[in-house]
Amino acid sequence: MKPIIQARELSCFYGIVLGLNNVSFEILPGITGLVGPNGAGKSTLIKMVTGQIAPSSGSIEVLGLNPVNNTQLLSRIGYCPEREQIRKELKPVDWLRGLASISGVRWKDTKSVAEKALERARLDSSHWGKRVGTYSKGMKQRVKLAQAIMHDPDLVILDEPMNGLDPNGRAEFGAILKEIAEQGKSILVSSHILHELEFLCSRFLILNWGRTLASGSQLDIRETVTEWSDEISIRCSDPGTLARHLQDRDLITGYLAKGESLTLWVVDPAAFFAEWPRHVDGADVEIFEIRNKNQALTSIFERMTK
Amino acid sequence: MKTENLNPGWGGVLRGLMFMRIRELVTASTITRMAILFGVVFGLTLFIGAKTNGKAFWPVASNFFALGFVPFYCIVKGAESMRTELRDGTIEYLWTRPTRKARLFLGFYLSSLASALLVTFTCVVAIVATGLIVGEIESLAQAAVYGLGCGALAISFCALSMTIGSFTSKYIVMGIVYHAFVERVVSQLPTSVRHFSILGNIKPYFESLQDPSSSAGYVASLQPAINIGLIAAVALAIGGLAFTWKNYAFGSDK
Repeated sequence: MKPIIQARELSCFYGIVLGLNNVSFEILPGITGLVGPNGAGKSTLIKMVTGQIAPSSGSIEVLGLNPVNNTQLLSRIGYCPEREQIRKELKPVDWLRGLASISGVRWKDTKSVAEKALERARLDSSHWGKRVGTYSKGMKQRVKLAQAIMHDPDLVILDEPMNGLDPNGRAEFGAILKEIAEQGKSILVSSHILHELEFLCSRFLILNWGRTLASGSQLDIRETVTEWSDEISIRCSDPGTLARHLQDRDLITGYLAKGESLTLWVVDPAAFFAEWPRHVDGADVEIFEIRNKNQALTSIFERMTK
Repeated sequence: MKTENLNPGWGGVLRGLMFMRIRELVTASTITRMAILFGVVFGLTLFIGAKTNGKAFWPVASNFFALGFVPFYCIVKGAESMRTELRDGTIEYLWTRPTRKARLFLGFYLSSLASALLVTFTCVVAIVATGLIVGEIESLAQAAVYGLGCGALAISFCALSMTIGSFTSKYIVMGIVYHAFVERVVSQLPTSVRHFSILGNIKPYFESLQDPSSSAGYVASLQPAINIGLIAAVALAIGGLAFTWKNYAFGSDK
Protein backbone atom coordinates (compact mmCIF):
# COMPACT_ATOMS: atom_id res chain seq x y z
CA MET A 1 0.00 0.00 0.00
CA LYS A 2 1.41 3.40 -1.01
CA PRO A 3 1.70 5.86 1.89
CA ILE A 4 -0.37 9.04 1.66
CA ILE A 5 2.03 10.97 3.91
CA GLN A 6 5.74 10.34 4.17
CA ALA A 7 8.07 12.30 6.44
CA ARG A 8 11.82 11.94 6.58
CA GLU A 9 13.87 13.49 9.39
CA LEU A 10 11.31 16.24 9.60
CA SER A 11 11.93 19.12 12.02
CA CYS A 12 10.21 22.40 12.70
CA PHE A 13 11.33 25.14 15.04
CA TYR A 14 9.50 28.32 16.00
CA GLY A 15 12.58 30.35 16.86
CA ILE A 16 13.97 28.45 19.80
CA VAL A 17 10.69 26.62 20.46
CA LEU A 18 10.65 23.06 19.24
CA GLY A 19 7.65 22.02 17.17
CA LEU A 20 8.83 18.74 15.66
CA ASN A 21 12.21 17.11 16.18
CA ASN A 22 13.62 14.86 13.47
CA VAL A 23 10.58 12.65 12.95
CA SER A 24 10.26 10.03 10.23
CA PHE A 25 7.05 8.11 9.57
CA GLU A 26 4.65 6.90 6.93
CA ILE A 27 0.87 7.19 7.04
CA LEU A 28 -1.08 4.68 4.98
CA PRO A 29 -4.56 5.15 3.47
CA GLY A 30 -7.53 4.75 5.85
CA ILE A 31 -8.36 6.52 9.09
CA THR A 32 -5.23 7.41 11.04
CA GLY A 33 -5.25 8.88 14.52
CA LEU A 34 -2.63 11.48 15.33
CA VAL A 35 -2.33 11.34 19.08
CA GLY A 36 -0.28 13.13 21.68
CA PRO A 37 -0.70 15.35 24.72
CA ASN A 38 -0.97 19.13 24.35
CA GLY A 39 2.25 20.52 22.90
CA ALA A 40 3.26 17.19 21.35
CA GLY A 41 3.56 18.67 17.86
CA LYS A 42 0.25 17.50 16.35
CA SER A 43 -0.91 20.88 15.13
CA THR A 44 2.59 21.69 13.83
CA LEU A 45 2.59 18.47 11.84
CA ILE A 46 -0.89 19.19 10.49
CA LYS A 47 0.18 22.70 9.45
CA MET A 48 3.12 21.16 7.60
CA VAL A 49 0.88 18.61 5.90
CA THR A 50 -1.43 21.41 4.75
CA GLY A 51 1.51 23.52 3.57
CA GLN A 52 0.97 26.33 6.07
CA ILE A 53 4.46 25.87 7.53
CA ALA A 54 7.60 24.84 5.67
CA PRO A 55 9.89 22.32 7.39
CA SER A 56 12.97 23.76 9.12
CA SER A 57 14.78 20.63 7.93
CA GLY A 58 13.92 17.23 6.47
CA SER A 59 11.16 16.57 3.98
CA ILE A 60 7.49 15.71 3.83
CA GLU A 61 5.39 14.41 0.96
CA VAL A 62 1.61 14.37 0.97
CA LEU A 63 -0.13 12.33 -1.74
CA GLY A 64 3.29 12.21 -3.41
CA LEU A 65 3.64 16.01 -3.51
CA ASN A 66 5.57 18.64 -1.60
CA PRO A 67 2.91 20.57 0.35
CA VAL A 68 4.65 23.97 0.47
CA ASN A 69 2.88 26.50 -1.80
CA ASN A 70 1.30 23.64 -3.73
CA THR A 71 -2.17 24.59 -4.95
CA GLN A 72 -2.46 21.30 -6.83
CA LEU A 73 -2.13 19.41 -3.56
CA LEU A 74 -4.47 21.77 -1.69
CA SER A 75 -7.26 20.99 -4.15
CA ARG A 76 -6.98 17.34 -3.04
CA ILE A 77 -6.98 18.12 0.69
CA GLY A 78 -9.82 19.07 3.01
CA TYR A 79 -8.81 20.67 6.29
CA CYS A 80 -10.80 21.28 9.44
CA PRO A 81 -8.80 23.46 11.91
CA GLU A 82 -8.89 23.03 15.66
CA ARG A 83 -10.14 26.48 16.55
CA GLU A 84 -13.86 26.90 16.84
CA GLN A 85 -14.21 30.30 15.21
CA ILE A 86 -16.25 30.53 12.04
CA ARG A 87 -17.48 33.75 10.48
CA LYS A 88 -20.45 33.96 12.78
CA GLU A 89 -22.47 36.55 10.82
CA LEU A 90 -22.78 34.17 7.87
CA LYS A 91 -25.28 31.43 7.22
CA PRO A 92 -23.57 28.07 6.60
CA VAL A 93 -24.61 27.79 2.96
CA ASP A 94 -23.25 31.28 2.21
CA TRP A 95 -19.95 30.54 3.95
CA LEU A 96 -19.56 27.25 2.12
CA ARG A 97 -20.48 28.85 -1.22
CA GLY A 98 -17.75 31.46 -0.77
CA LEU A 99 -15.18 28.82 0.18
CA ALA A 100 -16.26 26.55 -2.68
CA SER A 101 -15.72 29.39 -5.14
CA ILE A 102 -12.23 29.93 -3.69
CA SER A 103 -11.62 26.17 -4.06
CA GLY A 104 -12.30 26.33 -7.78
CA VAL A 105 -15.93 25.17 -7.90
CA ARG A 106 -17.86 26.95 -10.67
CA TRP A 107 -20.12 29.62 -9.21
CA LYS A 108 -23.35 28.09 -10.50
CA ASP A 109 -22.46 24.81 -8.77
CA THR A 110 -21.47 26.31 -5.42
CA LYS A 111 -24.97 26.20 -3.91
CA SER A 112 -25.55 22.53 -4.66
CA VAL A 113 -22.00 21.65 -3.52
CA ALA A 114 -22.53 23.51 -0.23
CA GLU A 115 -25.92 21.91 0.44
CA LYS A 116 -24.64 18.44 -0.41
CA ALA A 117 -21.70 18.88 1.98
CA LEU A 118 -24.01 19.98 4.81
CA GLU A 119 -26.16 16.93 4.16
CA ARG A 120 -23.09 14.67 4.28
CA ALA A 121 -22.08 16.30 7.57
CA ARG A 122 -25.62 15.60 8.81
CA LEU A 123 -26.52 19.17 9.64
CA ASP A 124 -30.29 19.26 9.61
CA SER A 125 -31.60 21.55 6.84
CA SER A 126 -33.90 23.31 9.32
CA HIS A 127 -30.75 25.02 10.69
CA TRP A 128 -29.34 26.20 7.35
CA GLY A 129 -31.22 29.49 7.50
CA LYS A 130 -29.66 30.50 10.84
CA ARG A 131 -26.42 32.41 11.27
CA VAL A 132 -23.47 30.27 12.40
CA GLY A 133 -23.03 32.47 15.49
CA THR A 134 -26.24 30.98 16.92
CA TYR A 135 -25.05 27.37 16.50
CA SER A 136 -24.08 24.93 19.24
CA LYS A 137 -20.57 23.51 19.35
CA GLY A 138 -21.66 20.24 17.74
CA MET A 139 -23.41 22.07 14.89
CA LYS A 140 -20.35 24.24 14.28
CA GLN A 141 -18.18 21.11 14.07
CA ARG A 142 -20.50 19.77 11.38
CA VAL A 143 -20.26 23.00 9.39
CA LYS A 144 -16.47 22.87 9.75
CA LEU A 145 -16.48 19.28 8.55
CA ALA A 146 -18.75 20.21 5.63
CA GLN A 147 -16.30 22.86 4.41
CA ALA A 148 -13.51 20.27 4.57
CA ILE A 149 -15.31 17.65 2.48
CA MET A 150 -17.33 19.77 0.07
CA HIS A 151 -14.80 19.66 -2.79
CA ASP A 152 -14.51 15.88 -2.47
CA PRO A 153 -10.86 15.74 -1.35
CA ASP A 154 -8.77 12.57 -1.31
CA LEU A 155 -7.40 13.35 2.15
CA VAL A 156 -9.39 14.93 4.97
CA ILE A 157 -7.39 16.37 7.86
CA LEU A 158 -9.19 17.11 11.12
CA ASP A 159 -7.45 18.83 14.01
CA GLU A 160 -9.08 17.89 17.32
CA PRO A 161 -12.58 17.70 15.79
CA MET A 162 -14.16 16.12 18.85
CA ASN A 163 -13.10 18.76 21.36
CA GLY A 164 -16.05 19.67 23.51
CA LEU A 165 -18.46 17.14 22.01
CA ASP A 166 -20.54 14.99 24.33
CA PRO A 167 -20.30 11.16 24.00
CA ASN A 168 -23.32 11.03 21.65
CA GLY A 169 -21.87 13.81 19.53
CA ARG A 170 -18.53 11.99 19.34
CA ALA A 171 -20.17 8.74 18.31
CA GLU A 172 -22.18 10.47 15.60
CA PHE A 173 -19.15 12.42 14.38
CA GLY A 174 -17.19 9.16 14.27
CA ALA A 175 -19.95 7.54 12.22
CA ILE A 176 -19.77 10.39 9.67
CA LEU A 177 -16.00 9.97 9.40
CA LYS A 178 -16.37 6.22 8.90
CA GLU A 179 -18.87 6.92 6.13
CA ILE A 180 -16.39 9.24 4.42
CA ALA A 181 -13.63 6.63 4.76
CA GLU A 182 -15.92 3.99 3.22
CA GLN A 183 -16.06 6.19 0.12
CA GLY A 184 -12.33 5.58 -0.32
CA LYS A 185 -11.10 8.78 1.30
CA SER A 186 -8.21 8.89 3.74
CA ILE A 187 -8.60 10.71 7.04
CA LEU A 188 -6.00 12.05 9.44
CA VAL A 189 -7.62 12.97 12.72
CA SER A 190 -5.82 14.37 15.74
CA SER A 191 -6.71 14.25 19.40
CA HIS A 192 -4.97 14.51 22.73
CA ILE A 193 -7.34 11.85 24.06
CA LEU A 194 -6.59 8.45 22.58
CA HIS A 195 -9.83 7.04 23.93
CA GLU A 196 -11.74 9.32 21.51
CA LEU A 197 -10.06 7.72 18.52
CA GLU A 198 -9.62 4.12 19.66
CA PHE A 199 -12.98 3.06 18.22
CA LEU A 200 -12.49 5.02 15.00
CA CYS A 201 -8.94 4.60 13.74
CA SER A 202 -7.22 1.56 12.35
CA ARG A 203 -3.78 3.16 12.64
CA PHE A 204 -2.10 5.63 14.94
CA LEU A 205 0.83 7.99 15.03
CA ILE A 206 1.72 8.87 18.61
CA LEU A 207 3.75 12.02 19.24
CA ASN A 208 5.22 13.59 22.34
CA TRP A 209 7.61 16.52 22.75
CA GLY A 210 7.93 16.76 18.99
CA ARG A 211 9.04 13.15 18.56
CA THR A 212 7.37 10.00 17.25
CA LEU A 213 6.73 7.53 20.06
CA ALA A 214 4.96 4.86 18.03
CA SER A 215 3.18 4.38 14.76
CA GLY A 216 1.24 1.65 13.03
CA SER A 217 -1.88 -0.39 13.61
CA GLN A 218 -3.37 -0.99 17.06
CA LEU A 219 -1.76 -4.43 16.96
CA ASP A 220 1.67 -3.01 16.05
CA ILE A 221 1.49 -0.59 18.95
CA ARG A 222 0.33 -3.28 21.39
CA GLU A 223 3.31 -5.40 20.37
CA THR A 224 5.59 -2.68 21.69
CA VAL A 225 4.41 -3.58 25.20
CA THR A 226 7.08 -5.52 27.01
CA GLU A 227 5.80 -5.07 30.54
CA TRP A 228 2.66 -6.85 31.59
CA SER A 229 0.47 -5.67 34.40
CA ASP A 230 -0.55 -8.22 36.98
CA GLU A 231 -4.11 -6.92 36.58
CA ILE A 232 -6.16 -8.78 33.97
CA SER A 233 -9.76 -8.15 32.96
CA ILE A 234 -11.87 -10.97 31.66
CA ARG A 235 -15.44 -10.99 30.40
CA CYS A 236 -16.93 -14.44 30.67
CA SER A 237 -20.15 -16.40 31.25
CA ASP A 238 -19.38 -17.31 34.89
CA PRO A 239 -16.72 -15.14 36.58
CA GLY A 240 -17.07 -16.78 40.01
CA THR A 241 -16.40 -20.29 38.71
CA LEU A 242 -13.44 -19.16 36.62
CA ALA A 243 -11.91 -17.26 39.55
CA ARG A 244 -12.18 -20.27 41.86
CA HIS A 245 -10.74 -22.53 39.13
CA LEU A 246 -7.66 -20.27 38.79
CA GLN A 247 -7.34 -19.82 42.55
CA ASP A 248 -7.25 -23.63 43.08
CA ARG A 249 -4.22 -23.73 40.73
CA ASP A 250 -2.42 -20.91 42.63
CA LEU A 251 -2.35 -18.71 39.51
CA ILE A 252 -3.94 -15.61 41.07
CA THR A 253 -3.47 -13.61 44.21
CA GLY A 254 -6.95 -12.11 44.23
CA TYR A 255 -10.04 -11.38 42.16
CA LEU A 256 -13.09 -9.18 41.84
CA ALA A 257 -16.20 -10.50 40.11
CA LYS A 258 -19.06 -8.29 38.98
CA GLY A 259 -21.72 -9.37 36.51
CA GLU A 260 -19.88 -10.77 33.48
CA SER A 261 -16.67 -9.00 34.42
CA LEU A 262 -13.83 -10.51 36.33
CA THR A 263 -10.71 -8.66 37.42
CA LEU A 264 -7.80 -10.89 38.32
CA TRP A 265 -4.44 -10.22 39.96
CA VAL A 266 -2.18 -12.96 38.61
CA VAL A 267 1.04 -14.30 40.13
CA ASP A 268 3.10 -14.28 36.91
CA PRO A 269 1.47 -12.16 34.15
CA ALA A 270 3.88 -13.15 31.34
CA ALA A 271 3.48 -16.86 32.09
CA PHE A 272 -0.28 -16.52 32.43
CA PHE A 273 -0.60 -14.85 28.99
CA ALA A 274 1.75 -17.36 27.39
CA GLU A 275 -0.48 -20.25 28.34
CA TRP A 276 -3.84 -18.78 29.26
CA PRO A 277 -5.95 -21.20 27.12
CA ARG A 278 -4.51 -24.12 29.08
CA HIS A 279 -5.12 -22.34 32.40
CA VAL A 280 -8.80 -21.72 31.76
CA ASP A 281 -9.37 -25.12 30.17
CA GLY A 282 -11.51 -27.28 32.36
CA ALA A 283 -13.30 -24.41 34.05
CA ASP A 284 -16.23 -24.95 31.68
CA VAL A 285 -16.68 -21.20 31.28
CA GLU A 286 -17.19 -19.30 28.04
CA ILE A 287 -14.59 -16.50 27.61
CA PHE A 288 -15.73 -13.41 25.68
CA GLU A 289 -12.74 -11.11 26.15
CA ILE A 290 -9.41 -11.06 27.93
CA ARG A 291 -7.31 -7.93 28.35
CA ASN A 292 -4.22 -6.95 30.21
CA LYS A 293 -4.49 -3.47 31.67
CA ASN A 294 -1.17 -2.49 30.10
CA GLN A 295 -2.33 -3.62 26.68
CA ALA A 296 -5.21 -1.17 26.41
CA LEU A 297 -4.17 1.54 23.96
CA THR A 298 -5.11 4.24 26.43
CA SER A 299 -2.81 2.70 29.01
CA ILE A 300 0.00 2.32 26.47
CA PHE A 301 -0.42 5.97 25.50
CA GLU A 302 -0.41 7.11 29.11
CA ARG A 303 2.79 5.24 29.84
CA MET A 304 4.48 6.38 26.63
CA THR A 305 3.75 10.03 27.25
CA LYS A 306 4.62 10.07 30.95
CA MET B 1 -18.76 16.98 -6.77
CA LYS B 2 -15.09 16.86 -7.65
CA THR B 3 -13.36 20.23 -7.99
CA GLU B 4 -13.25 20.69 -11.74
CA ASN B 5 -10.68 23.43 -11.87
CA LEU B 6 -7.52 22.98 -9.82
CA ASN B 7 -6.85 26.68 -10.02
CA PRO B 8 -9.85 28.86 -9.17
CA GLY B 9 -8.23 31.91 -10.78
CA TRP B 10 -8.64 35.51 -9.68
CA GLY B 11 -12.36 35.52 -10.48
CA GLY B 12 -13.31 32.61 -8.25
CA VAL B 13 -11.31 33.92 -5.29
CA LEU B 14 -12.50 37.51 -5.51
CA ARG B 15 -16.07 36.44 -6.10
CA GLY B 16 -15.99 34.04 -3.14
CA LEU B 17 -14.55 36.60 -0.72
CA MET B 18 -16.78 39.43 -1.94
CA PHE B 19 -19.84 37.20 -1.74
CA MET B 20 -19.11 36.31 1.90
CA ARG B 21 -18.47 39.97 2.81
CA ILE B 22 -21.62 41.24 1.13
CA ARG B 23 -23.68 38.51 2.81
CA GLU B 24 -22.24 39.64 6.15
CA LEU B 25 -23.04 43.26 5.39
CA VAL B 26 -26.56 42.83 4.11
CA THR B 27 -28.32 42.52 7.42
CA ALA B 28 -31.16 44.41 9.03
CA SER B 29 -28.77 45.91 11.58
CA THR B 30 -26.45 47.24 8.85
CA ILE B 31 -29.38 48.87 7.05
CA THR B 32 -30.56 50.41 10.33
CA ARG B 33 -27.05 51.70 11.11
CA MET B 34 -26.71 53.24 7.64
CA ALA B 35 -30.13 54.88 7.97
CA ILE B 36 -29.11 56.37 11.34
CA LEU B 37 -25.77 57.51 9.89
CA PHE B 38 -27.53 59.15 6.96
CA GLY B 39 -29.93 60.92 9.30
CA VAL B 40 -27.18 62.18 11.62
CA VAL B 41 -24.91 63.43 8.80
CA PHE B 42 -27.80 65.03 6.92
CA GLY B 43 -29.15 66.68 10.07
CA LEU B 44 -25.76 68.03 11.20
CA THR B 45 -24.65 69.35 7.80
CA LEU B 46 -28.05 70.91 7.20
CA PHE B 47 -27.98 72.57 10.61
CA ILE B 48 -24.44 73.91 10.06
CA GLY B 49 -25.16 74.94 6.46
CA ALA B 50 -28.38 76.73 7.34
CA LYS B 51 -26.88 78.49 10.38
CA THR B 52 -23.98 79.91 8.34
CA ASN B 53 -25.92 80.63 5.16
CA GLY B 54 -23.93 77.92 3.40
CA LYS B 55 -20.52 79.42 4.27
CA ALA B 56 -19.51 76.48 6.45
CA PHE B 57 -20.81 73.85 4.01
CA TRP B 58 -17.67 73.28 1.94
CA PRO B 59 -15.23 73.43 4.89
CA VAL B 60 -17.31 70.71 6.53
CA ALA B 61 -17.85 68.69 3.31
CA SER B 62 -14.25 68.93 2.10
CA ASN B 63 -11.86 69.63 4.96
CA PHE B 64 -13.67 67.85 7.76
CA PHE B 65 -15.42 64.96 5.99
CA ALA B 66 -13.50 64.22 2.77
CA LEU B 67 -9.95 65.08 3.85
CA GLY B 68 -10.38 64.30 7.55
CA PHE B 69 -12.96 61.61 8.23
CA VAL B 70 -12.67 59.43 5.10
CA PRO B 71 -8.87 58.86 5.35
CA PHE B 72 -9.12 58.22 9.09
CA TYR B 73 -12.07 55.83 8.73
CA CYS B 74 -10.43 53.93 5.87
CA ILE B 75 -7.17 53.57 7.78
CA VAL B 76 -9.07 52.15 10.74
CA LYS B 77 -11.33 49.87 8.68
CA GLY B 78 -9.19 49.08 5.62
CA ALA B 79 -7.27 46.13 7.01
CA GLU B 80 -10.00 45.05 9.40
CA SER B 81 -11.32 42.05 7.47
CA MET B 82 -7.82 40.62 6.91
CA ARG B 83 -6.73 41.30 10.47
CA THR B 84 -9.93 39.85 11.94
CA GLU B 85 -9.36 36.64 9.99
CA LEU B 86 -5.77 36.52 11.24
CA ARG B 87 -6.75 37.29 14.84
CA ASP B 88 -9.54 34.70 14.95
CA GLY B 89 -7.58 32.12 12.96
CA THR B 90 -10.41 31.79 10.41
CA ILE B 91 -7.77 32.60 7.78
CA GLU B 92 -6.74 28.94 7.99
CA TYR B 93 -9.89 28.07 6.05
CA LEU B 94 -8.63 30.31 3.24
CA TRP B 95 -4.93 29.48 3.33
CA THR B 96 -5.68 25.81 2.82
CA ARG B 97 -7.62 26.47 -0.40
CA PRO B 98 -5.92 25.90 -3.74
CA THR B 99 -5.15 29.54 -4.41
CA ARG B 100 -2.31 32.03 -4.11
CA LYS B 101 -2.15 34.30 -1.08
CA ALA B 102 -1.85 37.37 -3.30
CA ARG B 103 -5.36 36.67 -4.61
CA LEU B 104 -6.69 36.38 -1.08
CA PHE B 105 -5.00 39.68 -0.22
CA LEU B 106 -6.74 41.44 -3.11
CA GLY B 107 -10.00 39.79 -2.09
CA PHE B 108 -9.61 41.15 1.44
CA TYR B 109 -8.88 44.57 0.03
CA LEU B 110 -11.98 44.58 -2.12
CA SER B 111 -14.19 43.31 0.68
CA SER B 112 -12.85 45.99 3.06
CA LEU B 113 -13.32 48.58 0.36
CA ALA B 114 -16.95 47.50 -0.03
CA SER B 115 -17.57 48.22 3.69
CA ALA B 116 -15.67 51.52 3.54
CA LEU B 117 -17.52 52.67 0.44
CA LEU B 118 -20.86 51.79 2.00
CA VAL B 119 -20.21 54.18 4.90
CA THR B 120 -18.49 56.80 2.72
CA PHE B 121 -21.28 56.96 0.16
CA THR B 122 -24.02 56.96 2.78
CA CYS B 123 -22.39 60.12 4.14
CA VAL B 124 -21.72 61.52 0.65
CA VAL B 125 -25.40 61.18 -0.30
CA ALA B 126 -26.41 62.97 2.90
CA ILE B 127 -23.88 65.77 2.32
CA VAL B 128 -24.83 66.18 -1.34
CA ALA B 129 -28.51 66.37 -0.35
CA THR B 130 -27.64 69.15 2.08
CA GLY B 131 -25.49 70.90 -0.54
CA LEU B 132 -28.38 70.88 -2.99
CA ILE B 133 -30.76 72.26 -0.35
CA VAL B 134 -28.46 75.10 0.81
CA GLY B 135 -27.47 75.88 -2.80
CA GLU B 136 -23.74 75.14 -2.47
CA ILE B 137 -23.92 72.28 -4.93
CA GLU B 138 -25.35 73.62 -8.11
CA SER B 139 -25.42 70.60 -10.37
CA LEU B 140 -25.40 66.83 -10.23
CA ALA B 141 -22.07 66.91 -12.08
CA GLN B 142 -20.54 68.83 -9.16
CA ALA B 143 -22.08 66.27 -6.79
CA ALA B 144 -20.62 63.43 -8.87
CA VAL B 145 -17.17 65.04 -8.82
CA TYR B 146 -17.39 65.35 -5.03
CA GLY B 147 -18.46 61.72 -4.75
CA LEU B 148 -15.63 60.56 -7.01
CA GLY B 149 -13.11 62.44 -4.90
CA CYS B 150 -14.38 60.76 -1.74
CA GLY B 151 -14.36 57.38 -3.51
CA ALA B 152 -10.74 57.91 -4.61
CA LEU B 153 -9.77 58.70 -1.02
CA ALA B 154 -11.47 55.52 0.21
CA ILE B 155 -9.80 53.39 -2.47
CA SER B 156 -6.32 54.74 -1.75
CA PHE B 157 -6.47 54.89 2.05
CA CYS B 158 -7.91 51.37 2.25
CA ALA B 159 -4.94 50.23 0.16
CA LEU B 160 -2.55 51.98 2.57
CA SER B 161 -4.30 50.41 5.53
CA MET B 162 -4.04 46.95 3.96
CA THR B 163 -0.33 47.45 3.40
CA ILE B 164 0.32 48.57 6.96
CA GLY B 165 -1.95 45.77 8.19
CA SER B 166 0.02 43.15 6.28
CA PHE B 167 3.10 44.11 8.34
CA THR B 168 1.65 44.69 11.80
CA SER B 169 -1.42 43.99 13.88
CA LYS B 170 -1.10 47.54 15.24
CA TYR B 171 -2.16 48.88 11.88
CA ILE B 172 -4.61 51.40 13.32
CA VAL B 173 -1.97 53.17 15.42
CA MET B 174 0.62 52.93 12.65
CA GLY B 175 -1.93 54.15 10.11
CA ILE B 176 -2.84 57.18 12.22
CA VAL B 177 0.86 57.96 12.72
CA TYR B 178 1.40 57.63 8.96
CA HIS B 179 -1.59 59.85 8.27
CA ALA B 180 -0.49 62.50 10.75
CA PHE B 181 3.23 62.60 10.00
CA VAL B 182 3.51 61.53 6.37
CA GLU B 183 0.28 62.43 4.58
CA ARG B 184 -0.39 65.65 6.46
CA VAL B 185 3.23 66.85 6.42
CA VAL B 186 4.12 65.80 2.86
CA SER B 187 0.90 67.29 1.46
CA GLN B 188 1.87 70.69 2.92
CA LEU B 189 5.21 70.80 1.13
CA PRO B 190 5.34 73.46 -1.59
CA THR B 191 7.42 71.26 -3.89
CA SER B 192 6.37 68.44 -6.21
CA VAL B 193 7.21 66.01 -3.38
CA ARG B 194 3.65 66.58 -2.20
CA HIS B 195 2.49 64.44 -5.13
CA PHE B 196 3.84 61.42 -3.24
CA SER B 197 1.01 61.86 -0.74
CA ILE B 198 -2.63 61.13 -1.46
CA LEU B 199 -3.80 64.30 0.28
CA GLY B 200 -1.26 66.39 -1.66
CA ASN B 201 -2.86 65.22 -4.90
CA ILE B 202 -6.45 65.46 -3.88
CA LYS B 203 -6.50 68.74 -1.93
CA PRO B 204 -6.57 70.97 -5.04
CA TYR B 205 -9.38 68.79 -6.36
CA PHE B 206 -11.62 69.63 -3.41
CA GLU B 207 -10.46 73.25 -3.44
CA SER B 208 -11.58 73.52 -7.04
CA LEU B 209 -15.02 72.31 -5.99
CA GLN B 210 -15.32 75.11 -3.44
CA ASP B 211 -14.10 77.79 -5.83
CA PRO B 212 -14.28 76.53 -9.40
CA SER B 213 -12.48 79.65 -10.70
CA SER B 214 -9.34 79.09 -8.58
CA SER B 215 -8.14 75.89 -10.16
CA ALA B 216 -10.61 75.16 -12.88
CA GLY B 217 -8.25 72.98 -14.85
CA TYR B 218 -7.37 70.70 -11.97
CA VAL B 219 -10.54 68.62 -12.05
CA ALA B 220 -10.09 68.02 -15.76
CA SER B 221 -6.48 66.89 -15.31
CA LEU B 222 -5.90 63.16 -15.08
CA GLN B 223 -2.50 63.51 -13.39
CA PRO B 224 -3.76 63.61 -9.76
CA ALA B 225 -5.96 60.57 -10.40
CA ILE B 226 -3.00 58.73 -11.93
CA ASN B 227 -0.79 59.71 -8.97
CA ILE B 228 -3.34 58.47 -6.45
CA GLY B 229 -3.89 55.28 -8.45
CA LEU B 230 -0.13 54.67 -8.52
CA ILE B 231 0.22 55.23 -4.77
CA ALA B 232 -2.61 52.75 -4.14
CA ALA B 233 -1.20 50.20 -6.62
CA VAL B 234 2.32 50.38 -5.15
CA ALA B 235 0.88 50.08 -1.64
CA LEU B 236 -1.17 47.02 -2.64
CA ALA B 237 1.81 45.41 -4.38
CA ILE B 238 3.99 45.85 -1.27
CA GLY B 239 1.19 44.60 0.98
CA GLY B 240 0.50 41.62 -1.29
CA LEU B 241 4.15 40.60 -1.25
CA ALA B 242 4.34 40.93 2.52
CA PHE B 243 1.14 38.91 2.95
CA THR B 244 2.48 36.19 0.67
CA TRP B 245 5.88 35.80 2.28
CA LYS B 246 5.33 36.71 5.91
CA ASN B 247 4.68 33.99 8.49
CA TYR B 248 1.82 35.13 10.66
CA ALA B 249 1.21 33.91 14.17
CA PHE B 250 -2.50 33.86 14.70
CA GLY B 251 -4.91 32.89 17.44
CA SER B 252 -3.08 31.05 20.19
CA ASP B 253 -0.20 29.90 17.99
CA LYS B 254 3.40 30.04 19.03
